[in-house]
Parts: sequence; structure tokens; C-alpha cells
Amino acid sequence: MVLNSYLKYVFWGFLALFSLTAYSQNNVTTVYFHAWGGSPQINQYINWVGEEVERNHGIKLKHVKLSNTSDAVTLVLTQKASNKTAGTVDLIWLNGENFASMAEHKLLLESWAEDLPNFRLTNALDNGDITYDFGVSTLGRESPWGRASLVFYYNSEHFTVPPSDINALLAWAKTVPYRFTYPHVDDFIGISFVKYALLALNQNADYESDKELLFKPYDEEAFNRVTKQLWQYLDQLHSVMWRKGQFFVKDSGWLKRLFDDEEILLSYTFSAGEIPSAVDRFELPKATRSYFMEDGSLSNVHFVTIPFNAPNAEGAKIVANFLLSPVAQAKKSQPSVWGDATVLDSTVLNTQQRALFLSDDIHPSAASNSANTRKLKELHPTWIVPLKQAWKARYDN
Amino acid sequence: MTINKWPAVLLCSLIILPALGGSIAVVLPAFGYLPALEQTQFTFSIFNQLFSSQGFYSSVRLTIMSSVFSILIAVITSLIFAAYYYEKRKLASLSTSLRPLLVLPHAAAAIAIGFVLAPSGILIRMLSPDVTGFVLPPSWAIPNDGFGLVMTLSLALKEIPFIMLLMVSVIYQVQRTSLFNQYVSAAQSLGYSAFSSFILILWPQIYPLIRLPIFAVLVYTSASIEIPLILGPSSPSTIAITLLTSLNDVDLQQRLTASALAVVQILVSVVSIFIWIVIEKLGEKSRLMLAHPNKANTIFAPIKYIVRLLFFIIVGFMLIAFFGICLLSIAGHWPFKSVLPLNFTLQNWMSAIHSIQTPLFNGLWIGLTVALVCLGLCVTTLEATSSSIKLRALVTKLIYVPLLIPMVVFMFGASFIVTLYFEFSPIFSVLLLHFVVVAPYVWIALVQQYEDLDPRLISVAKTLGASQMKVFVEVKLPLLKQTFAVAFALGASISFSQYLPTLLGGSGNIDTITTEAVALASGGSRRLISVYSLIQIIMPMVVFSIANLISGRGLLRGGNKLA
Amino acid sequence: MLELQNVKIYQNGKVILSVNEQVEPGQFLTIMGRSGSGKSTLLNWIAGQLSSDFNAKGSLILNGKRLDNVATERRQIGLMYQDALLFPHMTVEQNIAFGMKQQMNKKQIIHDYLQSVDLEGLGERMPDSLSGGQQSRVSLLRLMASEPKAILLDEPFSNLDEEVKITTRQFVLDQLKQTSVPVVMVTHDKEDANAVSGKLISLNSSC
Repeated sequence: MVLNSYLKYVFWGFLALFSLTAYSQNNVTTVYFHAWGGSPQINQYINWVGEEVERNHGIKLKHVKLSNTSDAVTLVLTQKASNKTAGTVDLIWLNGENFASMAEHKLLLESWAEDLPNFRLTNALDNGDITYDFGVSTLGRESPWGRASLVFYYNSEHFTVPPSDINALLAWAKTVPYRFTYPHVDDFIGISFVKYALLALNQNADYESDKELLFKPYDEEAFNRVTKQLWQYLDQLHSVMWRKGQFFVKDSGWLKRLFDDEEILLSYTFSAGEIPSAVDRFELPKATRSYFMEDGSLSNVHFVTIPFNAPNAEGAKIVANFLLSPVAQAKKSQPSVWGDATVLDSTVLNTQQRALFLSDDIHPSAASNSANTRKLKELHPTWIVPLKQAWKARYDN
Repeated sequence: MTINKWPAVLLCSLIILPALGGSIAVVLPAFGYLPALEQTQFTFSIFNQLFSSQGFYSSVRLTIMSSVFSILIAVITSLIFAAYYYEKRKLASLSTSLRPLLVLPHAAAAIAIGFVLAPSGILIRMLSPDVTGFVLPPSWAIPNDGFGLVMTLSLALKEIPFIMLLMVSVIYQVQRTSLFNQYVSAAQSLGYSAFSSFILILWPQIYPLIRLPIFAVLVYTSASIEIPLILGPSSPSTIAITLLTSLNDVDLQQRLTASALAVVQILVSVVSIFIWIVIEKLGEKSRLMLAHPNKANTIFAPIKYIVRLLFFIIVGFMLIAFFGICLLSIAGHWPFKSVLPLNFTLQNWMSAIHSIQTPLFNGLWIGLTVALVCLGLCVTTLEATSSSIKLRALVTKLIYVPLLIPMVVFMFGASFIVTLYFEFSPIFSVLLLHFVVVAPYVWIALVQQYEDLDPRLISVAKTLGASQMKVFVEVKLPLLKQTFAVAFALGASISFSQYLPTLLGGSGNIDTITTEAVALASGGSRRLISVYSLIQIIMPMVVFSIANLISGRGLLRGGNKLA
Repeated sequence: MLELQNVKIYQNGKVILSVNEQVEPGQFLTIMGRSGSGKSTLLNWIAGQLSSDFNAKGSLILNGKRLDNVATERRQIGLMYQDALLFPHMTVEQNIAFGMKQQMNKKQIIHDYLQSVDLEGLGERMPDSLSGGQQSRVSLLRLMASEPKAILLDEPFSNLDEEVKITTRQFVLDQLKQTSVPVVMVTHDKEDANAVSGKLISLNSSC
């Protein structure tokens, strides 16, 4: 059977070939950075970071574009489960629940962030949110990257005065029905709206102490008391929401597209700088205007973390350090690049460094009242799951 | 004879072991066994929890109904198209021109359909505000309607080209073509119209031969993800989507629920097949009832009129969708009330071209390599089973294993096992996982044409002293050039559109156009997504054209033989 | 010399054909019988192409060599069917050259062949542009060019028109006689049997 032997050799030859190419791929100076890849601008910024770290440190930064941050969590967990020491993830962009989950399952490298040379520029002592991720202490397992605050935006072509707080939002929705929505609570942006509503509605709570309870571990009785108003609010809101609350979009990208399509006229995002640059990229209408709610803006810090089994932890630390550098932070904060607020404290920067942050771009779509914004702290992470479950019990048909 | 069995054994093992092994690995945690999370007790509590969870039964119902109905619609539509165009002798060319649609990635198709049907979609835009009076998009509940109608219709639309292709490959098999013509002539002389004769006489002979592939399509549809995600309702969603959501959940305990859902998914697919078999029986009964020329002709006559209409609607729809996506890819601002974008820009194309180099290269060489290896192994197996028809028939049946187990069920387990053993080479894992899903299609694309070759030609060649190698190279290969080329192009295209195998095999570190597109889909840049969708549409077309050129058929020529 | 020693062909355990014959070089063994009597199966067995639906017992000896376990392509036994079965993707010349063992002077030899059958100049033509009779002749040339040590004919003229049949039969059988190799011919046409010399076996459906 000459034919068989011949093809057999070809086949094994091929297999040998791939195995060879496979071996040559393991590159010690590569850093695999797993980060959400839905935003072309953020992707471009990360690209720039890659160019810089290659130039300065000879590191090849590989941006692994995730559609869900939890994909990276799953990956590391699976690797731990299979007891193989070789990991494939060097650096992950995350915060909140994803961080809490990885911490709980001991998937993170311990105590490295505070040793980074640039860490002192964050002035962690005076800025509590640098070392607390949604109320969980970071313990040096993640390095801060940027600050996000909930900002709303509306289509000024169809109305000129947007609602300025949570109650005004409901009133507005009644007069301009079916033109607002928020994503399903399984999405980070979706649950953030619900959290904002919960915090805002409880600002003037009957029990002063209730306000504080939201930042302490979950308590069922407090939960029921505190969420009563929330459900009443949402019941009313849903009936005048887009699709009457019968369908919730899956993620923030979808929400943004609805706004671009003019199916909704009011929306929100965590990334204030995203809006002007989206308008410039034709992804949002020209008449888009953004602003912060007067009753407060849900704020958090987002971080980068290193898994316990990172193949190139040293390289990852260098990248994390670069991300904290004034040059990188300043560039990131420019609206034309990303518009993500810095985690550096200007009081510890020198004049040269501070100058990097000055910019003249005043974009018509950029939020103007940021200086006056009240920052709303995130809820304690133990409230999230009960909140999601209660929402789903009420609203998932 | 043991030497001759190795290709078949190798082919089948490479395909079946990951599929079965993967399924077991995913299903075990459903019964409580997941050491990684310190669960080692077998228990049914996870299932109990799942069954009592909210929306579970409506999710099951939605999944089963949408998959059965969509395939039913697809089969019926294909049948009436085939009956109509068979008479006009245009069936083969019709089917060949539908071929590129086969390899259109589901996500791109869903996005395109969504863009046409949405209240802010291109259709309504074109009619607003002049015809409809809408200044803003109407608050209609489609797509993503609660009953899943849009989703069902879209699934049907996506599968029509495939089912037509199946039918054509049976009808135009060499020994069958003239036989079928004779049947139809005979029936016509008894008073049946050509249309009726196709349905009542040819179809019952065609169907048994395409039954197994249709089961595979049914299973695939019951577990499909992209179309339900983009066009289906959110609560309940289908089982497959709930499965994926559980797997992505930060709460790692949800992995157990995910496994339980995988078991449910398998059961749902099985139930769908059972329901389908019931429908088959009903179809059989109604065929017998129509076995009278006048009855049949009267009932089928009006259907003939709607076929052309239906055809124009479907083709029109596809053209509008394609046109819409093309416009979007170069669109600037595009307010609802404008028919066309206010301004155009190439920035999205430029940005894509800048970033696609690595993913494009990866996708291309993975696809071409996988297609080549599949082709090589399948051809070797075909040659080695030349003398044992039974073995070949067995392989043809076994090849359906990964097609009858939903990918969302076995791929996670399979990739876990594969990456465990081939840790040193993510690329190898990806190639292997792609092989599992591509090889069945390549085999199916090859086997029939291979067997159609007149065996006497091969006998004669042998008696003239030709060794097996010489017979292959000088007789079979030239005659099967086009078949091989098409099988290769098909394999490569299927590989291009794969998401889970690439993502899981490479642990996320290997990006292809498809993985990039999926990541982008979670962002808000619809214009960029359109660019990537167009690239995903163009890639298979290019490969098919090259294959046609190489095999000497010209760029886009169709042809009577389904080669 | 071709020897069929105690050959029995079985289908589903039943003997459908039994033969024990010798064929001298240049002689014909003609086998006649109704369709389904297994005569084509016998030829398949001789050529080494027995289908798996059948079993066979007995020996095949050609020029003193036992061929029982030899692969078809090494038996040097030619086979001609009722259809010409020219390779459709090859020219006439390529068809004829297919089984030729000698590498030198191929073109000249083929040219001579074609000339001898009145098909001169048709070397570059594709098979589907030839008439039935022409195809038959090319098929024969192809067979003879491979210099077989024995030849099998499976109802070789049954697909030809009446007129063409007579001339083609005459021509083919003359050529074969000249090759002086044993020939086994299977046919249901009496005229074929009458045109050749040698043993005639008539098969019934059960033996």
C-alpha cells in the first residue's frame, strides 16, 4: 500500500512541523494582557502602551481581547484546577466582583503592587479608594489604573433639559416614554444603574444608619428595608422604559448602539471620555451631550492584577508600573484618547508631571459639571449577588 | 488488512475522542463532581436547583420550539424551492450560488438581519419619515420579541442554503439524475404536475438520504448561540445562552449549574429529534392522503405562485442586509431620519486594516492547515477503505458524532483535556480542536463524489497495471479535482468562522478575525463590527474562488455537477 | 496458458458457478449464460476484483504462476467491458499510453497503433468526441498496448449498434487472435461465440 505509506509520512511530517513551530513560540519577553476588547479606542491606547514598553523595556505586550472579563477568571481557575504550573495569563484588567472572586479562590499573586516605583504617586494614604476595590482590601494584589464615574448622556436634538437626579429621571421617562433603558443586571453596566438608583434613593433614607449599611456586609433585614423603595421605583420606571422593560440588552455596547440609532434618547456610561471620542468617531450623534447627575455619580477605581501562575510576572509588573507613570496616565486621560480619569494624586506630582495633564480640548459633548460631582462609593460586594437575584426574581419573566 | 484500517481508525479517534471525552468532562460536574471547587460528592441537588429556578421551563420550551420550527420552515421552504426550480432546470445553479452563504458566520448573519429588521434598521429608515411618518424609531417589540419569532425565522433562513445543497447533492448524483427524470415523466403521464410529482415521488426518496444531516442541523440549531443572542428574547433565553452565561459567571459555583445545563442541552436536542420524527410520520400520512393527481395539483398549485414571491423576498432581504452592512462600514453620522449616512468615512476600514494583520494571518494559516490535514486524512481513509464498503459506511456514520453533540456542550471539556496534554503548544491544541469540527464536513463533502466515480474505470486502470498510487494520481485526482477543491475551501471556511475552539484551545492568546469580531461585538462600535463582518464574508468567498480557479472551473462558475 | 482449477464461486453460501478449464495461448474460452448467472463475477475473480458479496474457491494459474494472492495490477490480465471506459479526462493518446510499460518511442508506437485501426490523427482528441465504434477500438488498443498475458472480455460488443457490431467484432477478435494470449470471453450473444474458436461453456443459473 504505497499510497498509504506516502500519505502517512506527509501527515506525520505536518504534525512534526507544527510542534516545532509551537516550541519556537514560547517567548520569555512577552506579556499577555487580558483586557476587555470592545472599545477600539481603549484597544488603540493599549497598543500605544505596547509600543512604549517594547521601546523602553523590550517587552512584547500582547493584548488578549476579552468580551467578558470573567473569561480570564475562568481561564486561571481552570489552570489552577488542572494543577499544571504553567499559566498563560500575565496581566488582567478588572475590578469589583471579578477581583473579589479571584481573591476568594486564591488566584492572585500576593503583595506586589505597592512595591512598584510609581505606586507612591497615587498617594494611597490620602486616597482610600486606591487600596479598596468595591470595599474589599486590595492587599497589594492589584495595581490601580484609572477612575471611572457614572456619567449620563442625552440627545439634545430632541430635548434640552435632561433629568438631573434619580426622581427627575422617572418623571422625564413618563413624559418621554420608551426612550431610556439599562442593560440586564448580569452586565456590569446594568447592575451599576441599579446600584446608583439604590444609593440615590436612599440618600434621604428614614434611617440615617441605612445609608451606612450599604457599605457593610450584607444583612437580609437591612436589604429588604433598603430595597423597598428601589423596587417601587423600578416597577414604575420599567413601564415607561424602552420595550416596557420586557427586554434588556446584554451589554453596554448594545446600549450605546441603541442611543446611536435614536431608539433611546438618554443613556449612561462609566467612561466620561468615551462620549466625545465616540461622537468624533461617528458612533454617537453629534447632538450628544453628557453630564453628571446632581445626586451623585457612582465611582470606582479599576485595576490591573497578576495571576498567581503568570508565566512572566516580572514583565507584567513592569507593564503595570508603566501604566501608573505620569506619561501613560496623562495620555489616558485625554478625551481624544480614552478620557479615563487618573489615579495619580496631583499633590504628589512635580510641576513637569502635572503639566502633562493639561489639555485644551473642550468638546461640546464632554461633561461640563464634573468638578461639582459628588462621588458615590460602591456598595459592599456581598450586596451584589442578592441584589441581582432579587432583581431577576422580579423582572426576568 | 490491519494496515488499511489505520487511517479510518485515526480519523475516527481524532474526531470522536475529544467530542465524547469533552462531553463527559462537562457533564460530570452536573452530578456534583468538580475537584477544582472541592466538590466530590455525587448529588442531584444541582439539577433540583436548576429545575426549580425561574424561567427554566420557558427556556426549555423556547429552545425546543424554535429549533424544531426553524428547521421545519427551512425544510419546507427548501422543498418547495427545489420542486419549483427542478422543473425549470435551474436547481443546480441556484444551489451553487447559495453556497457562499453556507459559510457565512452566524454572528455576521445575525447582525445583518438585525440591521434590516430593527425599528431603527435600514428598511424603516428608508421609509421614514416620508412614508411612515416616524421621526424617531417606533417602539416596536422586534427583534428580540418575547416569542422568539424573529429568532426562529432567522435560524430558518440561515439553514435554507445548507438544506438545498443537501438535496441537490442527492438529486444530481450520477446514477440518480436520469432515474429521477423518468419518475417525474411517468408521474406526469398519470396526471400529476411536475411540481406535485417532485413532492410526492422524488422527495420521499431524497429524504432518507439527507435525514442524518438534517438531524445534525437540528441539533446544531437547538444549541446555537449567536442568532438567539442577537435576535432572541432575553428572558427566557435559550438553554445554550444560559449555559454560556453560567460559565462566564464570576460566581464560580455556577460552573456546576453550567454542567447541569449542558446535560439539559443534550436532552433538549434529543427531544427535538423525537418531535421531528413525529413530524416525519405526520408528513408521511399527509403524503398518502394526497396521492391523487387532482387533489395534489389543486393543493400545490397556489404554492407555485408564492415560490417566486418568496424567493424574491428572501433574496431581496439578503441584498438589503448586505447593502446595509456595507453602508455602515463607511458611514459617518447616520441619524434615523436620513436614508443614507450624512457623511462617509474610511476610518473604520483603515483602523481594521491596521489591526487585522496578526488575526488575519492566524486565521488564514490555521484554516488552510486544518483544511489540508483534513483533506489529507480523509482522502487517505477513502483510499484505504476502497475495498471495504462496510468500514467506509461505518466511518460515514461515526463522523456525525461531533455534529450530533452540541459544540457548546463538548468544546469546553474537550479543550480542557486537549490543553492539558498539549500544554507546550497552544497552536497545536487549536489545530486539533478545529480538526474535530471541520473533518466531518470535509468527509461528507468528499465521500459521495468519491463513490460516484465509476468503479469500472478504476478496475480497468488496475488491469492496465496501475498501482493504487498511480490510479489515484492519474485517474481519481484529475476527475475529482473540483470535489477536492470544494472540500478544501469548505474546510478552510468553516475553520475561519470558529470561535470557541480558537478561544479555548489557545487560552485566549491566539486571535483570529472571528475572535476579534466577537470581542468587538461587546463594544459599541457597530461600524467597526460591520467592517469585520464584511471581512468574515469575504474570506470564504476568496478561498472558494481560488479553489475554483485552481481546479479549473473559473472564478464563480456554477455547474451541473455538484463537484 | 491460463488455468482455472476447480473454481467455485459462492454467493450467500450457495455455489453459483463452477468451472475447471484450461485456455491455451491464442485460444478462446467462451462462457455463455443468462444475466445474473455469475459470469461477470468469474471475470472479476480472474482479474482479482471479486466484490465482497461473493466468495471463491479454486486456483488461478497463468503461465505456470499462481495468481491467487497477487494484486490486480500485477497480474497482467487485461479486461474489456461493454463500455469503452476510456478515461474521460485524457486524450486518446494518453489513454493508450496509460498501461504501456516501455518508455521509449511511445508516441511512435501509439501512432502506429492508431494507424493500424484507421484512427490516424485522432491522438489528440478527447474520448467524448469519438463515436462508439471508435471508442471501442481505442479501448482495445489501450488494452493491447499494456501487453497483457491474458485477456478477459465482458460482453464487449453488446452496447454497439448492429452495423458497427459486426465490423468491430471482426476486427477485435482478429487482433486478439494475433496476440496469442489466452482469452476468456463472456457473452450472451451467439454470434460472438460463433466467431471464435475454442471451448464454449454454457451456464445455467444453478450448477
